[in-house]
Amino acid sequence: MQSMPVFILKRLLYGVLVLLVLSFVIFSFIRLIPGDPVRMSLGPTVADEVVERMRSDLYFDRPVVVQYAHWLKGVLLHGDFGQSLYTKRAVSEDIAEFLPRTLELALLSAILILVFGILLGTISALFRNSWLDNTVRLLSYLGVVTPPYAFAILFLLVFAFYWKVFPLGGMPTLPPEIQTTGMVAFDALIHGRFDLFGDALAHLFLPAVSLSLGSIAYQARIHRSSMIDNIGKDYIAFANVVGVKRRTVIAKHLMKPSFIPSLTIFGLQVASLLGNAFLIEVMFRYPGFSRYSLSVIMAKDPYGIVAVTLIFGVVFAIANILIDLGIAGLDPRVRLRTTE
Amino acid sequence: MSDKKTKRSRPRWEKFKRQWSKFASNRLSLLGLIVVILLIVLAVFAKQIAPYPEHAGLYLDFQSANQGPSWKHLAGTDEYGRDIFSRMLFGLRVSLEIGLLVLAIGVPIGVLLGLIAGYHRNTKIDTAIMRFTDLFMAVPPLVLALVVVAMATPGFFFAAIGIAIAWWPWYTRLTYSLVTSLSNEMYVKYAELSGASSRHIILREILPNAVSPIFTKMSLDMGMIIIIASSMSFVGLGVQPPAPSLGSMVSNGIKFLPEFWWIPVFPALFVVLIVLGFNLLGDGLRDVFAIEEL
Repeated sequence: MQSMPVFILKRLLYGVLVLLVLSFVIFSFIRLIPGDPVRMSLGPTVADEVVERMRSDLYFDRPVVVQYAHWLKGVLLHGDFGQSLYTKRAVSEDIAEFLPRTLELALLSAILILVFGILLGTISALFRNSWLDNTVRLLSYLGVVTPPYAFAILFLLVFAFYWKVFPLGGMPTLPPEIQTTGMVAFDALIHGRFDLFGDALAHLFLPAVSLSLGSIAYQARIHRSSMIDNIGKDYIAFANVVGVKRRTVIAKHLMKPSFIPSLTIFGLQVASLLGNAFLIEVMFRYPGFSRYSLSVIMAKDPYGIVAVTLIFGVVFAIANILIDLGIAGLDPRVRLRTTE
Repeated sequence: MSDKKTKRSRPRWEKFKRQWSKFASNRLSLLGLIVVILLIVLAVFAKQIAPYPEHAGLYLDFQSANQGPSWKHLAGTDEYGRDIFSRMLFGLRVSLEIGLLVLAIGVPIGVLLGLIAGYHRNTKIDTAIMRFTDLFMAVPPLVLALVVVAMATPGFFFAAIGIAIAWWPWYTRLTYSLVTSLSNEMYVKYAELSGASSRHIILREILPNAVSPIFTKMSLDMGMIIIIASSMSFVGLGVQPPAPSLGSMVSNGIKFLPEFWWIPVFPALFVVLIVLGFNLLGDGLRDVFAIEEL
């Protein structure tokens, strides 16, 4: 017997375990990088004693298992991810500053993907083989094969250079007294600063659309085919025959089961969303966690790299658990399987 | 003897003809095949086809810098006066090479592990392999590839390794699910009953029947891998300049928007064309082999 909360708890624990093993593997590999990261970060002019002191402060002079254990203790007990050799401050401070902005961008994109992907897929399926369907299908095919940076160039050219309706990039900084969550648009909204909220949304718009278009296209394709599969099912024919209203058939009998494959695929979209955020944040000079991650990766900053991997892993895992919950909510078979 | 040979090969040829006519009946699949063949020809003969092959690497001619598209320079010239069209052809070559290298590393590893885990279902071997696979799927593929490259040296080879490390688990999963369904086939049961070794069953009975889905996935993945590889050079961790790569041509060109728009736009469009070709081809193959799980 296994109830839903137990199932979720097991998933969570397994996810944590996987990420811990992965972080240890990456930790060990970073130690194998030739060259001394501390020396690289401090530069050639700093005295050897200073470098040595920092090495021992950061546990680089100890065996990798000891260093890892020390780091893990810090993470679990104090949320301390170690010291970034790149930004020269605690990695946890960097995370607190940059992560919310990326989360805001990713959340907005995820909402766009779900809403528009499913909307377009539904329209396409309900008006199958009409010009509307064919247009959506053509556009979604083009959307799937276009890398996000190509969308970004297109939108920059059209909406930022030519029509100048949206800013070229960047993100305004809020006054410190209204920085509650670190998500710029969200903070402006909850403090009632609608002028700043509008400005933040304008800065979010092009990055979010560039980030989500490819996934919207893919989501629409999957949703279309999943709806078409279900339209052919006997229970739909039966509902139609016994005279259930068309609206009810679509909303209740057709939409609900069609969401299941869509949601499953959505997990993959989250993965590409988090990866592509790297490109989009670079393109739009968006001061988020992905651009920060890229800097620490380029600088081979050991604690930074481990933290980046871990944070992306955690965000990804949480998204997947939420998706599984959504599927369980829609599909009674999944719910029953977990309670068997 | 030759008689025997034709008898044996005829059904195979018939099957191929049947599959080909099914494939060719879809004009889009044919278009995909033509585009891919054309791209391969362009990549292989880049040196002969490119109007300015010497522009592929370090080359400076500031007098003809930043020129728009013309008959002399089909896609214009970049800030160093290099012919962008020529560089795109060499970038295409690099993209295809990376794609092939990733598949050449990732697919054998992924398929082999999937075969082993799938055949030894519900044993410790299965658990060990599939848990190991989860490790590589815990982080989004592009992030994992970037982290791997960060620990090595940015460049062609490690970009391919990085992507392969993020990619093989998908083949393990696919092969695993294929083996799971194929193991229930009668011919596998017969082979088991007649005392065939597990190596024989995995390699001779199961693998040949799993080839077409795997092959189709490779064609579909080629486009994805090229996007990821170009993304890596876009952020500066893939193929390093002055070697031409489509991603870095795009990222370097952004700073010239909007006046010299052709510098990033044509390489970006070229990536779209490459991926489109491979996807159309892959979709065509998928229809022919009637593979649903891809």
